[in-house]
Amino acid sequence: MSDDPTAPDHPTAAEPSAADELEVVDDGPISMERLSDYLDAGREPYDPEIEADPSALAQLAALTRLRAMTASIVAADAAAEPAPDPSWIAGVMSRVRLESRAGREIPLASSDPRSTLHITEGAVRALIREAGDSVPGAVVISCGIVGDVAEPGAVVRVEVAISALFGTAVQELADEVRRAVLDDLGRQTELVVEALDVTVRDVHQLDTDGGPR
Amino acid sequence: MSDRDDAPGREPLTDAELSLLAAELGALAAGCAGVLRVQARPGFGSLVREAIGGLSAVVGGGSGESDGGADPSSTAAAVASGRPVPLVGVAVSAAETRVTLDIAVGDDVSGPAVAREVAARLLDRVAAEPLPPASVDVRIVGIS
Amino acid sequence: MAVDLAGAADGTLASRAAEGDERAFEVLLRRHLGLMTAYATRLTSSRADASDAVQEASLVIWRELPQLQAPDAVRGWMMRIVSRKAYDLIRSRRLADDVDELEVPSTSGAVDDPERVAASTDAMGALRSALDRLPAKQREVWTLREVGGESYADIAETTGTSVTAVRGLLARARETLTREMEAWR
Repeated sequence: MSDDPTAPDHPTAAEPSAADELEVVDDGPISMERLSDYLDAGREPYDPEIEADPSALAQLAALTRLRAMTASIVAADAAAEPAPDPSWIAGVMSRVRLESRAGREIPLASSDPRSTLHITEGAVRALIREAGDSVPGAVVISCGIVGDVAEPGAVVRVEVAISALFGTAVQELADEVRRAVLDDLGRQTELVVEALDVTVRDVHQLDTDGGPR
Repeated sequence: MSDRDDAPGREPLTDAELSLLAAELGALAAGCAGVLRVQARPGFGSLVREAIGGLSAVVGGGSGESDGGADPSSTAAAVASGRPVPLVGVAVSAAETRVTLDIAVGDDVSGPAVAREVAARLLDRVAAEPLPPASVDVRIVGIS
Repeated sequence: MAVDLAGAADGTLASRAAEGDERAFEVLLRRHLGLMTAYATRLTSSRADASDAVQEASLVIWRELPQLQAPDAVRGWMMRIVSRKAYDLIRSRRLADDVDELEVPSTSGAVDDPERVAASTDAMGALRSALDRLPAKQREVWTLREVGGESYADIAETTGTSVTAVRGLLARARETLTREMEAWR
């Protein structure tokens, strides 16, 4: 027995019934699969065969209603889930913290040869994020240090991508982020930053809670 | 550990005493201005065994959750000292005493300056013990 | 005071978490936890198993986030990991119970809520009942596609069948469901 609903021996191959316009004629050209794909594609490109067929159109309408109802069920199920136990979240986060993303080790100068000092790339990225976030209207999306950080005094380039609050002056915002990041990098690291690129990659609005959206 | 008796220049500190010293080093580091937190260096036990040959003692380095298991000699030393495994790792060979730790610093201070201060303080403290020449490895893992 | 990430876009949270921002990861996790848990519950038919699967999935998500090429698509990517872990759990149970056939348990998703299961008085209740009556294989594929948003290729891999078979099962499920929903109307 075939899995293919268009095969003649398929159990759901329909007998034609004039009364029920929703009966899908599986051995015809307009299968449920084809209609589903068409709906998925937003009914583009326009398919004259489907659009001229009342039975197919009725099926499309039914499929659309099913889709909406399905989305409602999925959303309702998700919303009905009880709030997670704080200890459950805490358990996950403590395991997450054990796998911190330290990244490369960036040397710090020491006059005493008995001391070996480093700062991790992960710590520097966190620093850059906080510096960028501290600028009103900016949220850091991504940041990176390009260059051979393992070599003391090596020249590096820093890249920061931010999301800007809708309505803020983008150039000024980027400049302010650049200043804040350079400031903190200068205080907390010994990186020689030859260039700091700030890109506004996205725009957000404040949601009703006051957080960025 | 019987092989310790044969090693030239063996340290007169027992593992338990070494473990107590490691705990004290951790407290000293935590007490430095600007240090928010002292943390164990992940993988300390295996890292130090790869880096230094002829080790006679390895203590501290935390309970080793992040690298899949405590260093057995660190655990044994801690049990002998009656305290939990210290965060600061101390490894002793004939030629050197290696002190290893991670720290988190505040954003209102200069991280590099804090790291230097921590290293200096720990070196001073270790110098007061009958141990081979000490070196300190400090890593800043967080700023907030 | 740290910036409030509660309203940040999925892509922003995913990028930051990929680079080590644990706070962003927690916000992302909390945001989609309901959907992930509902999904795992449908697949495993057990709240306890669903909780375990989602917990394991959370760690895998943290670990693998740096490899995600399209941070904006993080939600679907996370759902895929949830189903992977749910199926791992189902398979290990199957091995323990020495059952031959991989039986995805029958559930409308409302495992602990008799009220929701019984209700046919509204359209949603009617759809839940119709889902319950679907053959197990059709319901399984429907769940992976409609709740999980997974691709035909991924569904085929998960269920150990072909893309053709998956499309066929989905088409039959949709036929049945549309027919029953229209009859209910």
